[in-house]
Amino acid sequence: VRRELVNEVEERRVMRLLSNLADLIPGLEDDDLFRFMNPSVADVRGRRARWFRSPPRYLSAVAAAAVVAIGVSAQLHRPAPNPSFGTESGAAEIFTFPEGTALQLLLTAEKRGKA
Amino acid sequence: MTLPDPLPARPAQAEALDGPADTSFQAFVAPFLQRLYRFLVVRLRDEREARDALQETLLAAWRGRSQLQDTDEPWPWLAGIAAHKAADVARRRRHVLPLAERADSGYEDFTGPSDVYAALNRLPEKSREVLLLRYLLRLSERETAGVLGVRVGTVKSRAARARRLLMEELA
Repeated sequence: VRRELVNEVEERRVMRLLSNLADLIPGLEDDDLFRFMNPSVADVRGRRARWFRSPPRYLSAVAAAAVVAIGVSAQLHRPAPNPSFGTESGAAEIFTFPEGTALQLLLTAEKRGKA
Repeated sequence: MTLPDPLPARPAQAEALDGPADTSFQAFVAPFLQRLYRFLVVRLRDEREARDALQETLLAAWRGRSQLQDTDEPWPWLAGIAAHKAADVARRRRHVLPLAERADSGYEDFTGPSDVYAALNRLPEKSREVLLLRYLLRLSERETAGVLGVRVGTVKSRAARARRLLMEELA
């Protein structure tokens, strides 16, 4: 009986201490209370926010497929390269190499030959 | 031992939860909000995290409000959700930020208003948790056992040890 009494006194003391502590913590403002009491609104907003933060994973697969499709389509619709370059077609194609155009290379080679 | 219950008795609003969803839910949670928030601030030592945890608690309660109609004890039900959310936040925090690094990280540690707060924070996690559930949220031993997933006897012994530790810290 005595032990129970001691426990009860101890419990009441701890309860009083924690109640006093809780009372010292500033409570929520009215705006916050309103927001917290409307979780359905927060739920919808939260879902939207989550969607924008991390859109569903299938979107990245859709995006990848779209890029591939666009790439294939561009390949198919690209005009075929003109095979008749050169002297026969009369179109003067200038071939460009890392070192310069074909004409520049020829001129350089000619200068070297003369020298 | 039965402790005096400072909270309103089972709110009549609980019966009305199948009415217009939002207004009945508001009426149900309103009497508990400040106490839950203060519990979360003390438990998590961070006001911002306490707000997030409260928001998560209420969302979970709102989504699971159909369960509420099956229980005669709405307060332990709500307090249990809050305790679990707080434990989740604390667990996540431990993974993200080891304690030793917190001091330099800009982590917003709530500056406690009293020696009791400081003493509480020096207690082991389990002791702090049982004290807050039993004496701040005023859950019974059986309800606390339900929240913690332990036996009533464990709650009794854990609470007795926690009280002793707190008194030693305050001495």
